Amino acid sequence: MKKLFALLAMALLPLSAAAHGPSPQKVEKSVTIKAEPAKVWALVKDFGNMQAWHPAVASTKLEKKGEDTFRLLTLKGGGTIYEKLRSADDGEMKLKYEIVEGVLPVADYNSFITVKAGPGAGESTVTWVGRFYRVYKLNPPIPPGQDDASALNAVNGVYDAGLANLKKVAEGK
Amino acid sequence: MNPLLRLLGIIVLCASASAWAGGHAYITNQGSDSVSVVDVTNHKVIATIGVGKAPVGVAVSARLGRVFVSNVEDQSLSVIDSNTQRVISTIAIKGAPVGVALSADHSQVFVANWFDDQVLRFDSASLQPLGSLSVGKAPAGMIASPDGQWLYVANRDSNDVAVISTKDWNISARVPVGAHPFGLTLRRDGKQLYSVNVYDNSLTIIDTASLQTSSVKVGEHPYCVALSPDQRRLFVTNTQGDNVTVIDVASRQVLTSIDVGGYPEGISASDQHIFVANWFDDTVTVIDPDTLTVISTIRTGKQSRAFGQFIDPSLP
Repeated sequence: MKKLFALLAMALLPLSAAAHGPSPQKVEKSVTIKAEPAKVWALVKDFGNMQAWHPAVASTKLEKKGEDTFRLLTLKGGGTIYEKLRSADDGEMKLKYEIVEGVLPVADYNSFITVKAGPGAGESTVTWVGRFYRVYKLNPPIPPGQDDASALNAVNGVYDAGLANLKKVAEGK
Repeated sequence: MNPLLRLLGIIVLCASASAWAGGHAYITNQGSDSVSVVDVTNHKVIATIGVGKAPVGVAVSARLGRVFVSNVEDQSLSVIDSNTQRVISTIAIKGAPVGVALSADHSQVFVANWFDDQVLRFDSASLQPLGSLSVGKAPAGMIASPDGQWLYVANRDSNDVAVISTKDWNISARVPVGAHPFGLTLRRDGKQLYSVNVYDNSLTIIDTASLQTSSVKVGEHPYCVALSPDQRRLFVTNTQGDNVTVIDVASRQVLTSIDVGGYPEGISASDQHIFVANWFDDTVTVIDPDTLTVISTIRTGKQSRAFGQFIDPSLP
């Protein structure tokens, strides 16, 4: 967790969601949870309460702008992330969102989280997927903290910590 | 002639004719720094070729027996001999080579240099540079008109398509399209040009004579477009919808959407089928353009992109 906060604090930059670099990066993480899918999905889909399961989030503020839903995450280590809800599909148990701006050292970040039944009875498999670009849009030399490795490290850290704690919360431990 | 020899002759002729008509799809794999060569008839990977770092764009010339691949993180262009499936040359390109296309007669290869807002021209045989021209911001997809007169360039960050005269390499028009045009394709007769607008979830149809436009809504975060072999249908990859929108060219109506792999990017047609590169799934989906069903899924390399015409469209 400390490492994650350090990573996030390193890149307190105003990020634009506009133009991005040429090569998208990919992170996919899964966890098996000993809890019913409906229970796990209820936690994941609750867009305005991410602090209920993600250990890096101190508070979540939900915002409606017309038909669109946003959330402002305030992190325990300082800094915020402003995100837009793309869709929350109860049938598929799939939540899609994107980052508008924030402290993660990424650009053009979009993501989805799915909850599926199994592998065992009464179990759920949660998969968190992200596609994003590094902060620095141009060619090398790339400034430290704005390269592909920094972007990948930060997202891996967020997903690992989040899924581990989601498992704890859903399993009631 | 000896009947046996004649029979052998017929078999050899048939075999070479099917190899010609079938052709190969060259799929760039960003995460493996490689190109998967797919036989478009039997849907098998017949070779995997190591190229530069993070390959994205591709252009195929059966006539030249060459394939050109842009390695964006390496700042280079790999030239592949499509008879031996080996890299025969690598051209250094200072900047960010993304889009790659061939001239109508395949004598020149064009490379869009994304960060420097330029299109670079090379002799496709000698690989010598022929010049460069400044276009709009972040040039991406490109395609040449079949009559050899025009090169069309999607300027992603200018939200327009540049119409470049190949006589004098001047921009003769810039056609406003939707937000963030990325992939382009052209009808075989050159009369209609299509631009995929990523941030607008739309496809712009451009009449190449009048330069008048109309648009069709597609799926989420679309990237690229291909026409069916009979030119009656358009297929648009929706990267964040994990599907392909099918549009009827005559009526400009959306017919359906077809689920493919995760984050589909590049799309091209063989003489029979539509091939889609799925960046997230490391696969290629093959679609029957008549029944609009998925007929096979092929495992490729990591993070397949295949941006450009990755199957030679001039094959008979």
